[in-house]
Order: sequence, then structure tokens, then C-alpha cells
Amino acid sequence: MPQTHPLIRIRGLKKSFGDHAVLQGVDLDIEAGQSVVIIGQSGGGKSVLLKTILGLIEPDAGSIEIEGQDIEKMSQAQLANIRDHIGMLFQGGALFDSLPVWRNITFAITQGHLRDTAKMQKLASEYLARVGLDDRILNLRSGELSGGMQKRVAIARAIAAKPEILLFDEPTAGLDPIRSDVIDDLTLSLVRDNGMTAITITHDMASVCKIADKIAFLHQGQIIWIGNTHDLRTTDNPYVRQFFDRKAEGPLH
Amino acid sequence: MLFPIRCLAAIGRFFIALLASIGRITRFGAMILYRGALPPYYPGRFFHEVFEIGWNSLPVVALTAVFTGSALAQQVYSAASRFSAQSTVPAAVVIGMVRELGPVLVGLMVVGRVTSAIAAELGAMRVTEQIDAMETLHTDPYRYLLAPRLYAATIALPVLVMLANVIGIFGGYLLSISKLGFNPENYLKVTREFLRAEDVHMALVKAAVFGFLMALLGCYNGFFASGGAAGVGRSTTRAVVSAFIMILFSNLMITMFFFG
Ligand SMILES: Nc1ncnc2c1ncn2[C@@H]1O[C@H](COP(=O)(O)OP(=O)(O)OP(=O)(O)O)[C@@H](O)[C@H]1O
Ligand SMILES: [Mg+2]
Repeated sequence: MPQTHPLIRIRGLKKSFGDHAVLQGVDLDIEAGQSVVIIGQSGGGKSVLLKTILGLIEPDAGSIEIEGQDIEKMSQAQLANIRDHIGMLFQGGALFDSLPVWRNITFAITQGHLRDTAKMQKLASEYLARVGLDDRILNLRSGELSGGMQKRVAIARAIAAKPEILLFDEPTAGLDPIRSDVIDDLTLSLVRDNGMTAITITHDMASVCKIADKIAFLHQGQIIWIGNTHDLRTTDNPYVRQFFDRKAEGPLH
Repeated sequence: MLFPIRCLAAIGRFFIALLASIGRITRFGAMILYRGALPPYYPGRFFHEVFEIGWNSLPVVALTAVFTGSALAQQVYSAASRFSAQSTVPAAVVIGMVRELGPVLVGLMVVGRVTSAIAAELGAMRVTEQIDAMETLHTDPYRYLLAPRLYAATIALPVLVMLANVIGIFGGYLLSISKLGFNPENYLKVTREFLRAEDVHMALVKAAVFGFLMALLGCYNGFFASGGAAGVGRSTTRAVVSAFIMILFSNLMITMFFFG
């Protein structure tokens, strides 16, 4: 059998801020076409992990390989090339607040240029529809949107770049259950129908159960548990159990 | 350790840190120029910044120049009348304005507008992760955010300074003929005689250097800001103070170079 490489291969990843060790040896494989969900406590380093995958945070030790290439050894140009295949949703949305919604969404396509206005606005409204927003907000700025709307515009912006890998940092946080389901459906369809690979961070267990092919539990800077949704429901790992059951009592606090 | 040695060590550490940050800023500036020289270009962003930095600074610059030019005329007049040399007023105004006061005062005023705005805007974008987001959206922040500002300021400042010089000389002229009893034709004739090409060249060089420095320090402090709103505030302060000092210091260097 030919040896198949995982799309993303993370080994021994470490990152500290000052003397606060956030990542303490993360190992994780992400296969192409999979939907992987990372769960774990607040402040556990999930967002830091996503940003190291993008090369936005430099790890202290360990390696990240994307398609067999170590991102640490890449030149700026190669890294930019890899990033072209990645769509990132930042936890805070990170919308460009000086640009209207439609220019945010089409930013990657036009590389920030102002051109083909009519065509780009049409494209933007198609992406808005995919995240369950209507095109009345096309010309608003992020300050004029609700938190949940900002999040969904940011999702639209991330997928409009037509990435192969999606990194979603809490896509459904701040959304009502129905809007959350729309986003879950979107993630699933991007993975199942468009062959994308998704890494989602979420605290929303309903969402985990719906979209995850593989779940990774990040605890004290390491992935201490990996399984699928069935494993998640039936595990006897006390940490995962407590987390999934939403209990204040238990080994986690 | 002995007290004097501790003092020396502190001074040494200060200068090492200073040299290190000069090195970092120089590398950063070179990187902006280099990446900004390669496509994709953002002419729209560049003209927007020219408008922001140049056009929108006109009122501030014009007011600064007219007040300074007339005050200069009055000062020279009252000082020169002690030894009956009132006729030096037009010459003193044109030389003082073009060589020193025009570039330096315009530089400092525009720092207040431009460096602070650049640092605050980029700093806010940094701490809300908009700059990180841009890198994931096929767009280089060096080309999109930094290069247009740096190039626009370097080009806009010489134009602003030239305008300020004209307005300042005109301010001195108005005060001299209306209040100090100068003959208009004679005043303008002396002004033209004393206006030398070298002085104008020096003013242009100073202005371009000041424009470059004020944008670079705004970009540097904003681009690497951290620590939320308070951090952005600190970066903005640091940008403005360092730009003030660098403008005054480079003014001295350029002046010494031209006369040295
Ligand atoms: N730039 C930074 N400088 C210093 N510390 C940081 C930085 N970024 C993150 N941290 C620290 O790293 C830890 C992990 O942060 P991270 O944002 O990854 O948590 P998280 O798992 O995403 O939490 P949440 O679920 O609340 O989003 C936190 O303790 C945070 O204080
Ligand atoms: Mg997070």
C-alpha cells in the first residue's frame, strides 16, 4: 500500500508566552477531506494552535507539515502560497472595519483592489446567502452589524477565497441555534461536497456531534484524547466525559 | 557594584537598545520599500493616502506658515531696528522660512496629524487581528497598508513645505507692508534676490526625509502594536514622540551636511 501523508501533520508543537506554557507538545494528524473539531477549555490554547498552523505565531519547538512540507522551513513566498489555500475565521471576526461588507467578502478575490464593483457585489451577496444573511447589509460596515452577523460575514469572507483548508475559530459562538445549524450545514457541505478539509474550534457540543469526523481534546497543552462522535458519547475518559456532560464537578476546573 | 559603574551600565544598555531599535526600524523601512516596489501595486490606496496626508494637511500647514512668517518678520524687525538694519527683514524672512522654519514646523505639525493617525489606525488593525486576516486573504499588508503611506508621505511633504514657504513669505510680506511700513515692490525685489536655489533644494530634501521618517515611525509603532486599546495608545505616543525627535535630529544633520 502506498504511504499516505496526512494533509496536516503536527508533531511536538510547543509554545510559551513568557513563562506561561500554552502548547506543551501537540501531536495531531489531519487527513484531507476530514472535518476535525478541536475542543478544550477556555484559555487552553486552541486559538494559538490554529494561528501556529497558519504561521501567524511561531512555535518554540515542534513541526507543522502541510502536504508534507514543513512550514518553518518555508520562505515568505512559500508561506504566502500555502496561506492562499487556507481560509481562516478568526475568533473575533477580524473584519476590515474601514471597508463595507461586500469588499470584505471579496477581499481575497480582488486582493484588496477596488474593481468590478457590480460583479463583486453580486458575488458577495451569493456568499452572504450561504451564511444565511441577506444582501441588504452589503454596504454596511462591521461596526453597524451585530456580533453574530459579523461572525457570519467573516465566515463568508473566509470561504470566498476558495480555500482547500478551513480553519474556523468558534464559527457558531454568539449565534442562535438556528443560525448555528445553518453554519454547521455549510461546513458539512464544504467538506462533503467540495472536498475541503475543515478544522473547527467550538464549545458547542451539538455542533461537534453534527460536523465532526474526528474530535481532538486539547488539555494542558496536549491533545489527550482523539475519537469520533460515537466515542465522544461513550468515552470513559473523565476529562472528556465531564466536558461533554457540562458538569462543574470533576477533574477539570 | 559601584554607583558610577551602575550608571555607566544603564547608559550602555540604553544605547544598545537604541541601536537595536534603529536597526529594526531600518530593516522594516527597507522591507516596505522593497515590497512596495514589486507588484501588485495599489495606486488607489496611494492616491487615497496622498489625499489624507497631503490635501487634508493643507489648512494646518497654511495656518502654521502664515503665523510663523509674520511673527518672524516682526521679530527680525524689532531686533534689527536696534542697529538700524530694518532692511534685512525680507532677507531674514525668506532665509528663515525656506531653510528652517518651513520644513521643521510643517514637519512637526504634520507629525501631529499623520504619524498619530497612521500609528493608531494600524495599531487598532493589529490588535483586532485585521492585519493577520489580511495575510490570509492573498494580500500583503506591506504593499496594501504600509507602502502607500510611506510613499505618499515622502512625496506629499515636499509639496506641503513648498506651499508653506510661499505662504510664510507672503505672511511676512503682508505684515511688513501693512504694519512695518515697507514698500511692496522693494520688499518683493529683495525677497527674490535672497531666494537661492540651494536653499530650496535643502528644504525639499528635508521635507522628503521628514515625510519618510514620520510615516515610517507611524507604521512601525502601529504595525507592531500589542496589548489592546491601551497598547495602541502607547504605540501612538511612542510614534509621535520618536517622530518629533527624529525630525529635529535629521534637520540638524541635513543642515550640517549642506553647510559642512
Ligand atoms: N499573543 C499572546 N500573548 C500572550 N499570551 C497569549 C497570546 N495569545 C494567547 N495567549 C495566552 O495563551 C493562552 C491560550 O489562548 P487561546 O486564545 O489559544 O485560548 P483558547 O483555547 O482559544 O480559549 P477560548 O476557548 O476562550 O477561545 C491564554 O492563556 C492566553 O492568555
Ligand atoms: Mg480561542
